[in-house]
Amino acid sequence: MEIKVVRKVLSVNDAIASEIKKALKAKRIFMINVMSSPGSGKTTLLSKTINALKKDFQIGVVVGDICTTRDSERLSETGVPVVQINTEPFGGDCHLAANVIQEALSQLELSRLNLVIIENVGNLVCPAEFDVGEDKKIVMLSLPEGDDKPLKYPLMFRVSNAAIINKIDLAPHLEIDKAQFVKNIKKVNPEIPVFELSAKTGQGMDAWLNWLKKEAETKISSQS
Amino acid sequence: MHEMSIAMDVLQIVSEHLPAHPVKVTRIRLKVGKLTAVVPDNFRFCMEAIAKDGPAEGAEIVIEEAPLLVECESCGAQSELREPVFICPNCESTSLNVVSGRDLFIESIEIEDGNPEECADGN
Repeated sequence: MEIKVVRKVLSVNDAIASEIKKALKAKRIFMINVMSSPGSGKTTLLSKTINALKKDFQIGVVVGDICTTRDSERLSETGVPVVQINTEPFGGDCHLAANVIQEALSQLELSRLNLVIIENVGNLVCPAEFDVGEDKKIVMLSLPEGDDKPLKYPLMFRVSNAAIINKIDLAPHLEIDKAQFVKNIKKVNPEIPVFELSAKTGQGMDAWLNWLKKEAETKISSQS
Repeated sequence: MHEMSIAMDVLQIVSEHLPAHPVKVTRIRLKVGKLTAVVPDNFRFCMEAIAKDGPAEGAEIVIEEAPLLVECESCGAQSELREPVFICPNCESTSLNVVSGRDLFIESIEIEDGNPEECADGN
């Protein structure tokens, strides 16, 4: 006997993501979900970003890490509240799903915040599939990873709203054509803004920070 | 390996659709779009592992891959993209909307009913 089902597999996740989105809209909180491969420099980028923006915004951070608290310790030094999610002590989940984010947000004092930053688990595959109620998805690559990544992980680059190419200070030491990075990202997502920067030296950070500020301010000042 | 979370969701949805009395699930049909991050073999492996000792143990997992179809905002043409390069094959515009290819659906399940009367006109 055949039973017709026709149900979206991720409907449970997506329903929670919509709840989060609604709650954040009512509270006028802007939330970004930052995704990248491991070692591309997410934590450095985020601590520099937080330090640059904390005078203008009330920031809270959610950090997903498979089995250490290193990233949250580094981000706590910025002085903003950080919630750490350990997916599993021996290397568990490879992404943050909406229910995990909902739980983490409940640990932040949301009434005092207007910008929430999620540092997702380092992975270019799995997090792309899970909406978590964020306003913008940000994907980051670093120069040494190679310019073919957008074509290898098209879903991630297609669903993202902004892309960052980090570690451009290494360009003189690498046989890499930076223009090809941008070209490949635009092949998958022609409209996406791309920020080339070095979180370490600060080069190119202004364009990224201005974009983020503008997007956040638009949401925070909008009438809900 | 987010295929494991997806497999758990699939099993959850399957169990919600089963009749109250004990049955065996023989087949689960899914539609998986090209532009999803699901690897069919990994998914099958996860399904086998978590379905063990339950009604869906040993069920055949049939995965229909849905092509990546886009519609062009400039010329209106619908095309299939065979690689992740979002340029209209007809007019080279980059303003494309994904029509299908992001799907991740359970289409149907087939069960073997313990009760012969109930499945007499089934298969």
